[in-house]
Amino acid sequence: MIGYLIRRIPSAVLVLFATSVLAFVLPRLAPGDPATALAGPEATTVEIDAIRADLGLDRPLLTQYLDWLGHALRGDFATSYVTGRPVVDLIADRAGSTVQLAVLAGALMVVLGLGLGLAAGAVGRGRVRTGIDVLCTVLLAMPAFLSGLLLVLLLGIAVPILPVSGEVSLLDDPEIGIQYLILPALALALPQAAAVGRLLRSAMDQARREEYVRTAVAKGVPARQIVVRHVLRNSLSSSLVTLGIRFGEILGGAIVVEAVFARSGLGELAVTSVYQRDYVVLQALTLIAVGIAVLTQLLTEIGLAALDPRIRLGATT
Amino acid sequence: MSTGSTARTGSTAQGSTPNGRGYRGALRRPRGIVGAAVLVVLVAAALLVPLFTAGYDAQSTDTFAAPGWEHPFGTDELGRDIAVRTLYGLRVDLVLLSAGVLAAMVVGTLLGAAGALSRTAGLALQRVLDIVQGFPSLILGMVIALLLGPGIGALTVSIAIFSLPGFARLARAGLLAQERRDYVLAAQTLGISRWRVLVRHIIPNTIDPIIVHTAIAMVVAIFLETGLSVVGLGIQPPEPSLGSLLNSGVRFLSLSPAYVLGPALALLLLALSFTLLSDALNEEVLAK
Amino acid sequence: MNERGNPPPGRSAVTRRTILLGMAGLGAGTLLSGCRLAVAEARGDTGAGDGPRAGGTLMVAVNSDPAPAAAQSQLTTSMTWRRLVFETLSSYDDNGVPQPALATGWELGEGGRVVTIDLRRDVLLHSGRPMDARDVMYSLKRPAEPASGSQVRSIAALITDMTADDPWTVRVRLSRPAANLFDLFELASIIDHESGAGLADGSAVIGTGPFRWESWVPGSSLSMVRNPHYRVQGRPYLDRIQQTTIGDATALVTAVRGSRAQVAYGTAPLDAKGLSADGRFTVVPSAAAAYSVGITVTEAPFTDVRVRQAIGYAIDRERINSSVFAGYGEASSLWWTRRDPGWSEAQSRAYTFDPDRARALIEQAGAVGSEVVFDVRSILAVRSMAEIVRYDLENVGLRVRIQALDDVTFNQRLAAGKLSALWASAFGLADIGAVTFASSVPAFLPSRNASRFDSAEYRRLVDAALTADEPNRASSVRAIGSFIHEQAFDHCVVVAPLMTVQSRRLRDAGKTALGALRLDDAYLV
Repeated sequence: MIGYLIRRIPSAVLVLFATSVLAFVLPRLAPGDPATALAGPEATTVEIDAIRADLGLDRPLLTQYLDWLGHALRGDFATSYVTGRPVVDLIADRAGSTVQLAVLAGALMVVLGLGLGLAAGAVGRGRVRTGIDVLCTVLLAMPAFLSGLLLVLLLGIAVPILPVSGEVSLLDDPEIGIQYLILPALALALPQAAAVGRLLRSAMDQARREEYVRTAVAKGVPARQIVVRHVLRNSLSSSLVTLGIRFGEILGGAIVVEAVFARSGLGELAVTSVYQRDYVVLQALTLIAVGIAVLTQLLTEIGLAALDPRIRLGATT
Repeated sequence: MSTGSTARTGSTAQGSTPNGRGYRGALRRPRGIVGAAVLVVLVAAALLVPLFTAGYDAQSTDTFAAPGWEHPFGTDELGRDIAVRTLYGLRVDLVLLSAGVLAAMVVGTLLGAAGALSRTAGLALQRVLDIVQGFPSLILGMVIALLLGPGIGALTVSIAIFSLPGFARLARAGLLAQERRDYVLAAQTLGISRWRVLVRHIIPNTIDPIIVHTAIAMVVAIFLETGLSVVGLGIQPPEPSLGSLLNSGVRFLSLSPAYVLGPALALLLLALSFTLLSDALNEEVLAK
Repeated sequence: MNERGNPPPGRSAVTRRTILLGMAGLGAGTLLSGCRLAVAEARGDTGAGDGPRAGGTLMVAVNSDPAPAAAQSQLTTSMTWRRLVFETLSSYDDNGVPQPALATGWELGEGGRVVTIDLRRDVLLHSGRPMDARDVMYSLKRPAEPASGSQVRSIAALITDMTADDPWTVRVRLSRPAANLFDLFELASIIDHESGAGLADGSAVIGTGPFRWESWVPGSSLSMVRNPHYRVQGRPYLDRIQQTTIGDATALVTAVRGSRAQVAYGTAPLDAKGLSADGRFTVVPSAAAAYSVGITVTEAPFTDVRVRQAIGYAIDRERINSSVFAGYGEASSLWWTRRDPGWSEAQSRAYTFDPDRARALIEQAGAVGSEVVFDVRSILAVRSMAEIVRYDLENVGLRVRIQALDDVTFNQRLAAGKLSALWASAFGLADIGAVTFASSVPAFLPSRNASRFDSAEYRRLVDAALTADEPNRASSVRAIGSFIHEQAFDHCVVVAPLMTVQSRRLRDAGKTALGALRLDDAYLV
């Protein structure tokens, strides 16, 4: 296991390094820069240039990159051009909101997804099963934006139980905070839950057809035991892979949901930073995002390896 | 020895049982029928709309009109018929999706094939795809829009880049899996040329998962277009797109609740048709 | 249990499953009834007040994140807190006459080249130190720096020398007399000179205003607390002001509708209109902005002045005012408002909606069917206006392609003079007066403007207005107005205010002449 991990580290580092270069170069290709953003709509070129020099943005690109790399390796991500604040602070301020959202959405995804998949897979056939299938398909086809909108309409405006915008941190006030979290987390979780549910359902269908299940039925093993001990366990591995991808998509969808529900999290920070060309913030966010993706992939592979010895022992793709 | 059709139903795509009835079978299942029917209706509507209307920018002073016979979904903030704009938006989205996803399919498959042929190329490809997939899609989309100027071009590029990794990985994995199969070894033993094996057997078997993946890639691309419209870097006014119409509909929800229904319905139907088709194809062509 | 999980026939229907579900239901019910509902809490109660009450937290939702460096600018990033944390030497009253604020009086000498300002002696900065002449001198000089982004930089740049005879008297020498001197006084917030550098990142934002800048999370929220040492006894009434940044227009409105905020600053006019019907809110206009269409005179077909003038006649300003601005604005051909003595009714109607005339002019110039690129600043109102303008221009024979540019890209091209043939933007300075407008907005600067319009006559007219003495001010402004109308390198379409939606629970909230939020006397009921 350790050997497996160690073999993966160099390529992970390479990926991160390449990402850092890409994240550095790409935003700088867009027109304008932080100096333009700071100077405001009534500035002349002279003023913009003065601000640019102040910020050190007129230095050669390589110098700027190496300077930033130095910061990154030391663990701080330099200072935001637009707000003058350390990037680490900016991210830390917002991370809480996004993490709370992502965690709740992830949990909902797992619970709802497993629930849906189990319900459909356990029943096997019939109207309930078809109903759940249709529900899953529809949910899957809805972008988080749309499901968020529907939830707002139903649970926020038609029947005003839950607040439709804003946020209160769970750490500040759990009772109220969770109410602000429910709608956005649901909006994010539903499409992913549907995907997980369907996968689980089809995996269970497939497992159901396997020899050992038929043997167990013939032996008189109770249905529930069959489902839990045999079918489910063997379906988990494919679901696990999906969960990793799904979580990544939750993080991606968080941006749109944050906009719709007026939450100020990392997604909103990313959007604002692109508009204001706050290069260093974008670099940091991209690096973190790719880092999380790489980590998730690694963890999923470890999980898979743990479940399936064949992977651990051998064939590399 | 084996003809094209046997290759599809006989030694079919990786890890499947020979149960699938192929593309035609997919169209016989209820999901396939519904999905295909909805798609055909949407495409037909999108193609025909210029024949019956005066364009997507027929402004008037009758803003936020309630739905009625003349305007099934009412009018928008500049007095334009929402149903008409929705159909034009559908046109734009269909063009966008087709161009972007098809480009991704072609380029992705080629890259994946290259990655399968050489081990180092394969490893390099995997890492590059890791970066592309890990890169926050919205940031990438926004930066491309700022670089190229927001509009159809930038969106197509974004969708293509975003959809590429899926196709590339499928192509590569598919080719590698085929290479190890018995019939390839058998053919090689018999002395059949590598090229012939490739063209007559490997490619047909690898293409299926790729084509099936296209359906889902379309759905994901729809989400990307919507997302970019929410942050304001989608299609340029006055041209409509489903994402930007949806966005406006949400904006003006209190002024005209019916506004959002048109684009939401169109979006849902479009995504749904692709999802259903994907399901049907998955079951019949890939025979899981 | 048989294979389907149903109880075997004959057994009671109460299965383990039912019991579990029942318990869950009971538990949920208890939880819900006992727990606080976020929506109820946010609403609060509406008491009928009988006079100002001290205390309370005001929650303000704004659509632009505060930028402390903009403390001396007329920008949406400072309008909501500038007058809360800072004060100025003087401030315009409703008639446009400057009234003393931190200054007790002033004297102009040497034909307007020397200004002697007397300061109040009872003002304390938030840091505890008494305000004195050094703070004023620092604050009058700062707008000239590029980092301040201030629209009165051209006036501050006139200052050649400043001396302080004593801690409460400042003598300012200008390179030439300035007709718009009090625009400088209006915008130059008085900042603590010792910590002025802290404005750049918000680490130190120290002024003399009724509220202190307490903490700022960029992009998210700003807290201001009551200044107990404010120079006016017993004010302010409010204890705390909590400002949240909500960039999304819809979410901004939802925040105030859901009682999460009592004030929504910078709502879109259509949203404000929607809320005006709700009895819980009042809609208050704040800073006026001029929405205009600019023309690059070096790009065909606009090299011909007839085509430029045609644009002015082609645009249906009334439709734009009603569809985009919900009728809150005013169709106008002038970029300044009635506040400027040089404003005239006739001039504001110089261009009326006359598509036939526009078509004729374009035909005369042989420009029918010309393809034009239209750069549009990506602000909601500007985009919508641009769609109508495009429709109108297509109607008179031009082919127009819209290119929506985000703020930074637009600003960059504006500053560099690299915009396309036509462009649409908004100027938030409509209230500040024609003279400052023409001498600070890059689109109008005589020396180098975004329209690439170069004319000695224009330079002369603006200079004349800048140095005009009292009796000649109005006529000099009118002269600028008619000149621009004739040359038509820019067309004002609508002058519309930013809208603020306020809960009726908030009383006596005010604003400065330029529309900055002023809460000295505000209280909550």
